[in-house]
Amino acid sequence: MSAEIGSQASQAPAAAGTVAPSERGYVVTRLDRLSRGALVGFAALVVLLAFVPFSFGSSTQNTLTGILLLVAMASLWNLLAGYAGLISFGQQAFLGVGAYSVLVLTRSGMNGYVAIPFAALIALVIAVPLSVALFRTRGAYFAIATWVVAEAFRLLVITIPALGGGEGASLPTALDYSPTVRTALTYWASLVVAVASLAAIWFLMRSRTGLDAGAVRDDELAASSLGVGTDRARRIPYLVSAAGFGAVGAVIFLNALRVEPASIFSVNYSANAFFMTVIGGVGTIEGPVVGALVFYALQEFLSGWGEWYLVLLGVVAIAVMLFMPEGLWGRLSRRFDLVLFPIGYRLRQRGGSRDKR
Amino acid sequence: MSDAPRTPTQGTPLLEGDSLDVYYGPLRALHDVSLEVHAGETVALIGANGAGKSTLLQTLAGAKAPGTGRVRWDGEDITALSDYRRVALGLSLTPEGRRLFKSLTVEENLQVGAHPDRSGDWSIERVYETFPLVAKLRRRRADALSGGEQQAVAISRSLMSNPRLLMIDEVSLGLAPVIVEQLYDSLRTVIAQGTSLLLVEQDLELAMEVCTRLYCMLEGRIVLSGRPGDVTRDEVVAAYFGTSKALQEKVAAE
Amino acid sequence: MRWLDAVIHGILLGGAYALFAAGLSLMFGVMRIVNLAHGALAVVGAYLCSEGIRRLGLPAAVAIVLALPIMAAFGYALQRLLFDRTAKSGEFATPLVTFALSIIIANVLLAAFTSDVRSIPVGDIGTASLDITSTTSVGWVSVIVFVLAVGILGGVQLFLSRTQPGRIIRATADDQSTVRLVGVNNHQVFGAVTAFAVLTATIAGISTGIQSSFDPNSGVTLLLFAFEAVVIGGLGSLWGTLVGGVLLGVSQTVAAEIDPQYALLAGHGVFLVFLLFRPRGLFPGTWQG
Repeated sequence: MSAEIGSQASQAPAAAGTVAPSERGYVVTRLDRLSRGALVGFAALVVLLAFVPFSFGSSTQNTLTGILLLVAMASLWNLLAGYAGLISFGQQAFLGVGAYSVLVLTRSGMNGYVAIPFAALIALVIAVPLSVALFRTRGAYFAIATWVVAEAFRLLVITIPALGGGEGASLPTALDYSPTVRTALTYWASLVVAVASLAAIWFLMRSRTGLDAGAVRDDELAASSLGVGTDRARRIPYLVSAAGFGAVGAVIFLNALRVEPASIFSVNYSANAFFMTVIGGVGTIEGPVVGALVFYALQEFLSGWGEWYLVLLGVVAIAVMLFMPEGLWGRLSRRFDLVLFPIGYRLRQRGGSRDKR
Repeated sequence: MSDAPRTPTQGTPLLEGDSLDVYYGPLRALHDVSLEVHAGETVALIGANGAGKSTLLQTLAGAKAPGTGRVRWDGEDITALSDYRRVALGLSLTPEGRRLFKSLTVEENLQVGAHPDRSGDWSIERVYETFPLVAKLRRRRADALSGGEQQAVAISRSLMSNPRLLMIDEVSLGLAPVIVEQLYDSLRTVIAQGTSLLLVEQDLELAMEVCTRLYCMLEGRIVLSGRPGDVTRDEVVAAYFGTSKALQEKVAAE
Repeated sequence: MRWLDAVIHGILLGGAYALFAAGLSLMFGVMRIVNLAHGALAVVGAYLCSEGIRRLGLPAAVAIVLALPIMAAFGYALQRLLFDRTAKSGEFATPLVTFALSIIIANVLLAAFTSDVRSIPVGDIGTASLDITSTTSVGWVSVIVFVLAVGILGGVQLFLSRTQPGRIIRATADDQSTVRLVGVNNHQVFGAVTAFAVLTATIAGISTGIQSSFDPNSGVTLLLFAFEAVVIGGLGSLWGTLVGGVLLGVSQTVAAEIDPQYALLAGHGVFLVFLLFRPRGLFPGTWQG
């Protein structure tokens, strides 16, 4: 993962009169010690989390399931907003697609958990033509258009009695696991979805696509003049985000056992994802995770407040956008020069402290 | 500040910039700059690109706040006064790049220029008389004009507020000589009406022809000031390019 | 004959949508702001009026007339205190902030008034109808709303193109920093535009409240329809917004004749079709006022 300039030359003696590359003071790396540590730590955490159902009861698992799904949604929303520069208020459309896909597939006999990747795939397939229409718009108009699409999906589902119409539908009892097993399976599913979402973002943003998407986000005209396929650069994050939300929707359904159009297609999901991302810090991998944790904590402490809780969140989000636009993680990251999961390159002085990116 | 003998002028200056330091972030664009314009004068501000001429005009107009230093109008401190309020006092700036209102016609641009509602000689008819070029184009949309046409309209728009002092940033830059000649003819009429002028002019000849006094700037400082008759062309050129030894020493010493 | 009925009602409905969209269109044209709280603000206006009638016992006309300047002032404050700030924070700050605002408003309303649906009672005129043909009759209120929509849109158009304040607004829209050099306080101009946009939203919200009903979450649907009307009509054309609104309204009422549950869906469908095949709308062009 790191590329050291002149590692060969360090073995050969420097030619007279020239400065061997190994004697230059800088090295370009992608991951420094801290990040390697963080990756190892992250892997360890995932392993630990995988063992939770064996040592903890269902209430802990349910709590963690909730948090993991929040992490997934915040990260996937951030993939669009922070990395591709696309604000979406309509990702809940894919939550619904994922949930209703599981409904249809389980009714045909498939195992609910096996259906999850298929739900993601269906969401991806639906996202392709949608992206054609949506990418005709930019900025805030794109945002509203995504909202329209989600609303249209909601209204469409209501008209289909086979899907339960406005009343919603339940998971068929073809899923005959005991409650303990079901809780564990749902938990593991949410863990897989969350880790997969984070991994997808990690690899995507460190790849050529990520670079392209960032370029398009920052200056579309300049990027296109450099030969960056602007549509493709944004389409891939959009499709990945759609697939991810499809998977999350599937797990939500499996967890709740019921799906209702008013609930699964609610814009509150987008609002929450937006709040989490903004509070945590847009454009970093760590930010949405921090935001999800803060969000969950607030949700727990303020659960008695009802609607005022959302009001508070909205106010906090506005305050953060005005006064701390880099978010909580962004502020921490800057203060302590801390980047756990970098997507760029770092310039490191040989044998010395970490340099600024 | 000046190398040439200071010209004694009567009374309080109409516009005065006093020891202005202006920053763009950490970058210092103006170093302790002072200048004055007295009523009835035509002052030219010359200097190479990046010397700080635009910054100075913007600061005098109130579009940029100085780090330190004062701006005075008729003796009163207006440093804290917003740009849009200074227009009401009679201080108008025609900005660099003309900056016409693109979706409005020429006539509408002029009408907007009259917003400050100051009394005086300038009206749309007067403007059309003085700038026949503008009169011809009155119905044309502002984004369909050539550079010279835009400049004439921009100056006219500023005149519509009946300024006592009109500042023009880059009169002739990028314009064909024929147009420039017409513009200066019109400017002579403006001067004859009694409007004071502070002009940024790239063309040394034109500047020295029309002005009653000039300042030369280099790297954010005033390096020469005086009447066109009192300074030689060589002195001006030297100041412009910063080639005189005395000048270099002086700049280094600061 | 039902179809003619549906079309006529659709046209009148379109007027209401256009009225909603006018403020949105104006704010975008002058300030490049997409105000996602536009619908929510309309609903606030409706609640303000409704509470005036219920709590203070005001006659409907008084409540309506009082709500307008209050909401306009609120719009002015929003612009000066919030949107002027967010405008400096980058391209996405304002839409995100207005979105957060719409969530805040919807939930404050929910907490204060519960999710109960309500209407604004205006007495007999609310149910009075006008017979257009022997078989078609329309409500007086919807006719008034349509006339109001046309009047406001036309009025704004004239105001912008023929008056000095209108010229100043267009100049500020073109170049907000240079306009200061001709003595105009751009912040005041923006404040006035937002105030007017919220005013029209309030009128639209109140008329919805009179014609049908509303609840704290109605803002969402209203926003989406306003937005669709603007896009279909073409960004930057006020008359286009009227046409867009009418198209939207007619598609909904005609679809309702087929099956009521397809009504709203049809509207969204028409929008998506336009997005695919004519994304710049029917009357594209730069902001013409």
